[in-house]
Amino acid sequence: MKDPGEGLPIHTVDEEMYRLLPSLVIATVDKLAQLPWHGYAGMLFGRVSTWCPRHGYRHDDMDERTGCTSRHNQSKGGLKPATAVPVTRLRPPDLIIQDELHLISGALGTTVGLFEAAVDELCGWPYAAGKQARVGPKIIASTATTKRAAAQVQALFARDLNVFPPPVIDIDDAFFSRQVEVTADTPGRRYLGICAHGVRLKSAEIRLAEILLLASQTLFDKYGDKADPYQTVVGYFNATRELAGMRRYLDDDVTTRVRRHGKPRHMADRIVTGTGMLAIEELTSRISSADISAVLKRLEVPFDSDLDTSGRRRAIAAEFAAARKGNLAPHPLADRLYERARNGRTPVDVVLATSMLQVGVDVSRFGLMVVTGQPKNTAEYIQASSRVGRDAARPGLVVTLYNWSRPRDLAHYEDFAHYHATFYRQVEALSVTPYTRRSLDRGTAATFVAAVRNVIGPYSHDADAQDVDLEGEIVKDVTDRLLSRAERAAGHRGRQYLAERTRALRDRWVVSQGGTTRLGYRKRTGKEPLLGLLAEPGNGPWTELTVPMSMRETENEVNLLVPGRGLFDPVLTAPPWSFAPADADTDADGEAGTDESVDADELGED
Amino acid sequence: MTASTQEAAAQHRRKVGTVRPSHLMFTGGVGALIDLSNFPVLVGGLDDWRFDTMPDPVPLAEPRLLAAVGKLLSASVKQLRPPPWMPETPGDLTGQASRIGVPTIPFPQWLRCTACNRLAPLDSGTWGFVNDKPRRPDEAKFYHVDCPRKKRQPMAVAARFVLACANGHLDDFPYREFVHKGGACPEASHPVLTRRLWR
Repeated sequence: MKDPGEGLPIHTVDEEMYRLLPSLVIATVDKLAQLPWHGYAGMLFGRVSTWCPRHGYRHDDMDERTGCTSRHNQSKGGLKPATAVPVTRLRPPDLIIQDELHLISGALGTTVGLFEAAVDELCGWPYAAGKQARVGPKIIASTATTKRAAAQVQALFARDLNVFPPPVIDIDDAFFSRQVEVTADTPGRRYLGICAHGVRLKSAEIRLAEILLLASQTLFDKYGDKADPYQTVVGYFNATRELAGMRRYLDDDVTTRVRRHGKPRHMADRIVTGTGMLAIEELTSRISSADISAVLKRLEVPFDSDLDTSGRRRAIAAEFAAARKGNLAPHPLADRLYERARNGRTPVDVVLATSMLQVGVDVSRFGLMVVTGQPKNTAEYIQASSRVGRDAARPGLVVTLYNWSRPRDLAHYEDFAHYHATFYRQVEALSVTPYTRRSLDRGTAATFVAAVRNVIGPYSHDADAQDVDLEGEIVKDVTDRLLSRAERAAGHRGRQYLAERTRALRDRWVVSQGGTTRLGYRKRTGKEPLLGLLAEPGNGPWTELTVPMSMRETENEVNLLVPGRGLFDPVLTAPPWSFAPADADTDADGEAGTDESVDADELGED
Repeated sequence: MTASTQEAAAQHRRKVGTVRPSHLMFTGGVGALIDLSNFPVLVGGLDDWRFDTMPDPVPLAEPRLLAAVGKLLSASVKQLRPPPWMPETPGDLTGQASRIGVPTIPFPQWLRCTACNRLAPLDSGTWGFVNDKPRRPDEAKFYHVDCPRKKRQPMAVAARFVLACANGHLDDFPYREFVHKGGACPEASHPVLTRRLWR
């Protein structure tokens, strides 16, 4: 920082990062996927060769983007002529901090594990003349569970592990967490299990949503702002499909029910007008990520005891009607309600969420959650259900609705108290398997190319795939180090699998080098065309040379289209209905069928 | 239908949501209902799927699966295709990519107004459709045009009942015929229905 008031020297654009090489880089693991695709990504590991006084560290592949051409003769805007000068390599990163290590597990962790091999290679440097003696960075990770963490770290980083703080004797005070008595000031979180045998799950969902909405409104009428945590029902679902079904019921059945069922149940009506609707938000992949933050902001809006008790709501509705009739100015409170609605700050009655809720959602208002169906693993269940009652001073109630037709749900229901009393112990161990065959089929090319391409400057440019000497000393050293790392991480078998895949890959690479057009890492057309060594995933089968563009290859989303014109056209070919009397035997069938058909109550009505 | 709704109907965006291909393969296949944020849709038959608007459709290279399908259905199956899709140009939400997809129709075609409980099919002229934000297809919804009880476009939700036959065919519930016990309405040529809850 040179000028006072200039702000913090933080760069957020990729190119800026590469040419200025900040000493602290904050990134997600997904960025590692750039290593095989971009030669200049290696500069972050100190693999620099020249430095331009105007543009910072440079790489030929970046010239087009930065506008730097090693020599600047003209003095534009008073700048002196400049020539890029050769520089020595920088020291690679000495410290890697991996936050939320527990998320680097499963399929993602397996992929990351392979990329970490390339990172390890790029971060390591010989500190003595001997080739074998290399030092690498220290890795510090934070995690939510230390169960089998040693195995996870071994597979991911091929390192040993020390846990800090060490597991303590006193469970009440474990450095990160302290047990606190449940008191009025620290109400804690309560779990409630519901399993409605013999009732369709959908019916149970509707009834549960209804009763929670009515009951929380009753509490709110009675206790005001203190009951605000219960006013927004958070619905947690294991699949978007289940969530979508619930959305249907909320707009139809639940809305209808909370408009009129309050009184007969001796509770308050949630919706006081015949035309009112519930305010519903979603936190799902159906909402674009840009809009999620808007939704989160709206969720922070609390219910206002001046406006949102059912008595006040009725009064305000009447006030509006009277004001409209008599052409008067409505009461200031009614105005406040209107103003709030206009600013999109109407508090939310129900928010439906999928696994997205688990990470990063921190709305301290939340106090009431319905988990529909036992989530697939305990870690997810804990993560999701701890979104309610975040604030120590506010209560939390988690209602888990079990599906009685699923044996797994039943097992959890039967073991409810013990499971919940010990659920931190039930957290599943994390499994990471980078050096298995199927994983190496998909990840060897990315790892190997990332390591080889960035090992020395002359291999790093897009057009350099042709010049890599695959039988040479440099590539052999890299391969050896990757193999011995595989052995450390996954034993003899890991090494053997990786060796197989690497040999196949090298053969393919050598063959590709024999073409009539120069071989580059990625295909280029134009004045200096290149054949592409690496293939993007997507079209066609996965080959030895397919390299993923990100850590998580998700399926593409296919659009659903409704008719443009003709959405409201009548169906012309539909035959008319006929209601011929049923004959005797089908009648008997019909009788038998009624037992299985739903009764009036299940259809949503009393 | 008034002239203005007709105009609006012609102007709405066609994209109302997205699904993953695996979802289309299993629970959300042809003839299945997919619940969107504000209304459910029914996935159209393969004869309605359009591949001609895609720039370069690549058939799936799975010869053994193709042979198996040919054996199971008919030898006339020549190609396996992924669902119509093309990558979106970054920043271009209204481009060609947003117009390529799987055809669906709203189903059930009968809707109910959440304010006045009017029950009517889509072709009755009662309903309007809004879907004007390219970034928010999830906000697409049907609404009651000129509702007598609520002014600001009250949402219309799918009517609760559909008919399904033992062979898996699906149809709208014949509300009109049902309430008149199969006959014609003695009072009006085109009866107007309202949903009432029975206690």
